[in-house]
Amino acid sequence: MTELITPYWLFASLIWVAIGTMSAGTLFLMGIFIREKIKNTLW
Amino acid sequence: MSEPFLDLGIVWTLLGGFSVMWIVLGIVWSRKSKGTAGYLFAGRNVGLALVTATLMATWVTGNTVLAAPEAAYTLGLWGMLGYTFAGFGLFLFAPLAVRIKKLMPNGFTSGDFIRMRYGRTAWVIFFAISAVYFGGLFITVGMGAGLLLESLSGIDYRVGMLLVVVVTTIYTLLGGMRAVIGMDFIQAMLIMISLIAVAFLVYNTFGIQQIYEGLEENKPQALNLLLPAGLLYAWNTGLMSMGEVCHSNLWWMRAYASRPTINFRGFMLSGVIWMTVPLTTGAIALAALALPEEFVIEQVNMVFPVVASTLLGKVGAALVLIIVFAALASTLSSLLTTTAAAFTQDIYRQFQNPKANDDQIRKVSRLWVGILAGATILLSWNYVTSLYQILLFTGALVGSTVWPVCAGLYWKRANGKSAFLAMLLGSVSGLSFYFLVSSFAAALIGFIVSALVTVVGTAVSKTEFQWSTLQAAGTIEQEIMK
Repeated sequence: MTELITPYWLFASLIWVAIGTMSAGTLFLMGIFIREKIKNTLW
Repeated sequence: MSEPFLDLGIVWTLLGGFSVMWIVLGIVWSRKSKGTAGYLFAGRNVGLALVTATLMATWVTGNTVLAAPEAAYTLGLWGMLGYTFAGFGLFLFAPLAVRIKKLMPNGFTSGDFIRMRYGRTAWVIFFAISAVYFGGLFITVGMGAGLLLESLSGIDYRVGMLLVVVVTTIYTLLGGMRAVIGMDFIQAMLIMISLIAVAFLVYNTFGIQQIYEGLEENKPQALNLLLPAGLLYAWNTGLMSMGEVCHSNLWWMRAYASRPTINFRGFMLSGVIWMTVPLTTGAIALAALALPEEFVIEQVNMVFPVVASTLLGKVGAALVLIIVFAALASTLSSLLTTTAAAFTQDIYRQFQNPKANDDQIRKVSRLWVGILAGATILLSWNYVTSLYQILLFTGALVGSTVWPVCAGLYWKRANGKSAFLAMLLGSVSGLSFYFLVSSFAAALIGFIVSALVTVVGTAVSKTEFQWSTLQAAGTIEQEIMK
């Protein structure tokens, strides 16, 4: 069977991209929520 | 069944506390929900933060939290990556949402579009496909609620199912779409913060290097980027998600509810953020796969709770319970509102009372929320079949709707006859393949057959549709025009 084992650098990048993007996404959503709340544009 | 992760006292305190909080918020939001536009569309001007969160939370189901890590545990890296392909459904819908809002600023449902664009014959088959899809979804969410809460906390299957359905129905009945979207924001935050905490702890405790070396030693195939089963899984997941999102009133109503200027960004952002959920839960599952001496996995679908409770004890198990409860409630509340709207608009307003006033529409919508909740309880009362098989069965049908919807939104010459035939032949082919050959590729077959019929039928057609006709969607003028 053809194999292409993921190199360490790619594996590590994937893990950090996953956790990093979720953290950034959470902060971003909170930030936008606060901004829209202040500007009264939530709804 | 394996031992529950939490004591019953803690379980009831958590579930009771969150249930009360959600119902109280439902009451608060119900005061701000004015008229049909307020009740069903949260005012039709929802901003970026709430739209992104509601899309993301609705797409995160109990399955995303428990089946995505199971896929990573079973298939390795491609299992984790493959599940993320379901996010492509949201990306595909981003430009469609802009087009939908532009063509039908006052639209109610996806059925509105099909009926006005293609006529009643095509609408009948579209509505039937949607009804089967939503029926399947209600059953999987209802049964999923009972099963997941039973596995995590030890409470009886029916008690868990009833708790989720009843609490969700109460806040949906009270506050409508406004409560659903507001609650989705809170639930999205709970899900993401809890997941970040567990994932960070796993990789901080063992280190990426140790987990990578553990995989190399214990399960090298998990790191194979050319794993055939993984590639097939990813492809199927992506395609099925496109079929699910494209026809479903869940997403159409959010397109109608959001502010026109943020529609595209909302869908794209929610897709990106949603993708991190299966990626993160998958990354957690890979740790369990790499370090079998640290984590004892008796049931593969419980890999995420096992990792969380091993590292964080009762706090970890409590976090998983909160994530699952939030995911189930957000999906079910969205299903209740959007399906109730479909029955109100597509059946009540079309056949019973075309001139229904604002108050009547809202009352009938509420009645349908109650009826659908009751039906969910009845259909989920006994756990009888495989949840995944139900999803695959509905996939055989929804795959046939992608092309008629997309062509109808952009192609003037797309017509009722070809749309009807595309959905009919696509569904028949998909179902035949499901029963006679393989359930896994049924959605793909339905999609291909429907594509061929739509493209040929449209290419040979000489009729041209007037886009301005759709502007009347959702209004009384629509009925007068007919």
